[in-house]
Amino acid sequence: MIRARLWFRCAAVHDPVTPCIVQPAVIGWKAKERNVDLTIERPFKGDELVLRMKGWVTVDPKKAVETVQRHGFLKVLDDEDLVVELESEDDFSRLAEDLEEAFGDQLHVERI
Amino acid sequence: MNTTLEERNDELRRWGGALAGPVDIGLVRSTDRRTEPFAAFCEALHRAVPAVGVYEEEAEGDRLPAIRIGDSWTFHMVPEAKELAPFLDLLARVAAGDPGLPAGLAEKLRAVNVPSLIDLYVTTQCPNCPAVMNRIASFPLVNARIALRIVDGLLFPEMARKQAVRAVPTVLLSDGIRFTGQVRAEEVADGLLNGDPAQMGAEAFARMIHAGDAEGLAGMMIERGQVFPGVLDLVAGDLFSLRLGAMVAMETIGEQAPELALKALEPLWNRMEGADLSARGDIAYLIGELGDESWRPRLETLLTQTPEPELQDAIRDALESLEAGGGGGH
Repeated sequence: MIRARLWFRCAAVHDPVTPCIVQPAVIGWKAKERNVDLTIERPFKGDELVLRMKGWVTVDPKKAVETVQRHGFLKVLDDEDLVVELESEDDFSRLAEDLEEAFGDQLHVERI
Repeated sequence: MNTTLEERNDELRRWGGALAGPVDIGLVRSTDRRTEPFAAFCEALHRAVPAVGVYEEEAEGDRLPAIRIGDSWTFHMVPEAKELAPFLDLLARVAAGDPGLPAGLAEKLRAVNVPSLIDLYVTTQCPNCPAVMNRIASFPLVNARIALRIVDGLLFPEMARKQAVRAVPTVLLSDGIRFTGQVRAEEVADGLLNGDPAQMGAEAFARMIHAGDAEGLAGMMIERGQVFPGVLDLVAGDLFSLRLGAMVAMETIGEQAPELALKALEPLWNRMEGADLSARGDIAYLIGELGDESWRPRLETLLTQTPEPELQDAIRDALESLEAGGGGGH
């Protein structure tokens, strides 16, 4: 299996950036007839994390997710880092080519 | 070797062949580790285009490495990638002495009568930055009071942080006006024209002092009836050459408009605490020269609280000057 990092371009500064989880979402409940003081922490999934980048990066995150998912899987590794997992070298090469064709130099993968 | 320039050698030679004449750039060396790419760029550019001469300056104080063109342009940026073309275009304009700006815009720029520093934050990968740089880069060719400082916000993140720049391109004018994104040249010119020198930072006035025009600066303040806070920052600053020039300006005000000079002492006193020892001595000196007897109690109190002998001497001198009636027309 190959793991790769996905580098977007920051819409403000135009340097390569990748989203990461600093703190997982904290979810609670409001009950109709009682107070619930329970909260749970749930990190984003890989595609959810990318989709939340809309406007912060120069490409359309939805299109980026669709392109990546044709070749591999978006995951959040160790509850922190966004990675793409691919089955083979061929998948990696094809993903790199597709990203370049669709996004030019605005989105690329880098093996880790 | 500078790879970017080596790869574009043919393009550079063609550009060099079309230059109107020789042009010099200054390499500002400092102890900062980021000096090296600046030196490599200058060397590679000179090698490809010998008409571009390179002279070297040692950075004064904690100045950062830079490429300078005359006194008006400072690049805290290695002009590579997308920023190479606008840099070369500016050099060509400087060589030709042709700002290449529309007449109406040039007329506005000529009317700017205060020293104005434009900060332009860019990154070398930013697709929008070259256009903004092209629009405003030749402003100083129209009016030497205007200076331009181009900063690579990624290479010098501490400068970007200090000026709260989080996106590029960002244009900052001396009095705090800020534009982000694709600003038009006319908007920047209007900002310069309507600029309030009272809001300008010390750097805007530093060039005037460096150029030996401290008296001109004093004249500007007298004309407006106001001592600009940026000038007081220079008096309290730690760069001796600038402090000296700012003090000359203050003394000139003291001779020609003593009441104005007297009013400036209170804000100057407020800068005493953050100033270094030499600057505190100079502030005390100015109080002695420009102040009146109302300043005596404060100076005497300061004297009792000052352990440093050299500052004590300066305060005693200031007290003597007050005794003698100061130098400011009292």
